[in-house]
Amino acid sequence: MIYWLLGAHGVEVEVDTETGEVKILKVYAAQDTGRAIHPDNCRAQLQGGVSMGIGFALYENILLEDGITLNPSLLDYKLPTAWEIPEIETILVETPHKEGPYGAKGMGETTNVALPPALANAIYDAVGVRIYDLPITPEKILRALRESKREEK
Amino acid sequence: MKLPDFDYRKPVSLTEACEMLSSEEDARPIAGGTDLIPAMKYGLKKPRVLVDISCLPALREITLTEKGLTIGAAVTLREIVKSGHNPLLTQACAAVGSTQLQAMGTLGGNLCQDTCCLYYNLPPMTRQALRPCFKRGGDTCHVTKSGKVCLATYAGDVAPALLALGAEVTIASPVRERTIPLGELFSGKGETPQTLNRGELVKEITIPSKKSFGSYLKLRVRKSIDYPLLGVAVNLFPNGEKGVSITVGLTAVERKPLSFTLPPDLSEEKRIEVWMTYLADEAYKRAHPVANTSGYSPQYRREMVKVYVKRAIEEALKKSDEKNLLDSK
Repeated sequence: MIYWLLGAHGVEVEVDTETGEVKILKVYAAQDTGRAIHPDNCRAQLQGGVSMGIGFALYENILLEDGITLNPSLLDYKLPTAWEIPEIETILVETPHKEGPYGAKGMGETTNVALPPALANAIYDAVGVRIYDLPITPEKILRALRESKREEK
Repeated sequence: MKLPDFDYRKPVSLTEACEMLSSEEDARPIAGGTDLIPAMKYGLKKPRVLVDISCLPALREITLTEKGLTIGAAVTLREIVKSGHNPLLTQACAAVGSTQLQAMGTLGGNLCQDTCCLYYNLPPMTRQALRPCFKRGGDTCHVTKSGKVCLATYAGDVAPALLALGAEVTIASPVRERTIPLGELFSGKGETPQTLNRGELVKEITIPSKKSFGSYLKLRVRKSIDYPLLGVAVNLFPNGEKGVSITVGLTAVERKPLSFTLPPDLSEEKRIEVWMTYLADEAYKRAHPVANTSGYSPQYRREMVKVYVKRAIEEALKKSDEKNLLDSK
């Protein structure tokens, strides 16, 4: 059985142009679930995907030096905490799959894919700078903001 | 990771505790243990004897007198937050780690916490791949490749707030008690950040009772758990007609917490921007963060010193009843 996993995320952000810090205000996450057999579970899956995506987009980073991992603990390898997770509006788009059991299909892995690009786009929309590599740190935003100002002059 | 073997002692008085600490070979005090236990699990510290001071009545009191606010060293950070005696201190205590760490961690323990470094606070497996650094008793520093000194950073949240408040620390020892300005508790050495001698214990902190308005701002990657990558405490003492005196405390930018005061000739300055810029520039000059934390680069952290000092002053001014007075001058 072959099926396509379709989903889309929308992100509302606030960017502090003095420090480069990003605050995610709200995330909208929509996903094609086939028939949602257990809708609450599907929504929880989406929320989990969003929180993973936020970690991926803003925080997670392995520091390597001469093959040594310098941050081999969850204190130094930053995962988002509950504070970093904004309000998430989940939208289940149910289009029953003709071959899936009861019309269901998978929706696990793809829920964290759309967040980083959506966030990068939201940052571009807010302050006009594009960040092309993850994690999107305040430093990168601040540097990009300065460069764009210089170009304007 | 298992804890190494150690003996446990529970003294009933402060004198007994000090005696144990000076007579026992390789003894360390323990209260909340939030700094010591992880270091022991990592095998960074191997004290033979732990002296539990968490229940000593002499260290557990908060008293408010005419002289000021006195807080015992074993009062937990959460208890300080709940007591709400001093807004700036409360703000700094509430910024420490997470709620769980605040519930266990104590005031004395937070002040006496060890310096941290990305190349030192590593589990044994990772550590063994690196040549021992100064803090591990070796002869190198991995932060700067030709480093001649240990650059481990002091990253306590409470110290800058207390420095800004002009606090004094009372240190107990088997011989006699001594009271020193809090700044003298810190040695500025990465290996041994405190100036305590063998058998000495932080007994209490006294904040002089003087009307002031303060604010503590902390730069960190996440809003919880993280150590500060930069901490700025600002405290304004309104002097009525004479203007204002301001103390700034900084943390996580050096081997010890720093503090400095607005010079008297500027304290009569009427334009807020003038002394705000002066304090921001002065803080920037003194801050020397190094590349030994995860999170942000030292360049960024140093740059943020100016922004954070200004914002902390703005926030403190907002809290101040005297704002209108300052504006109208």
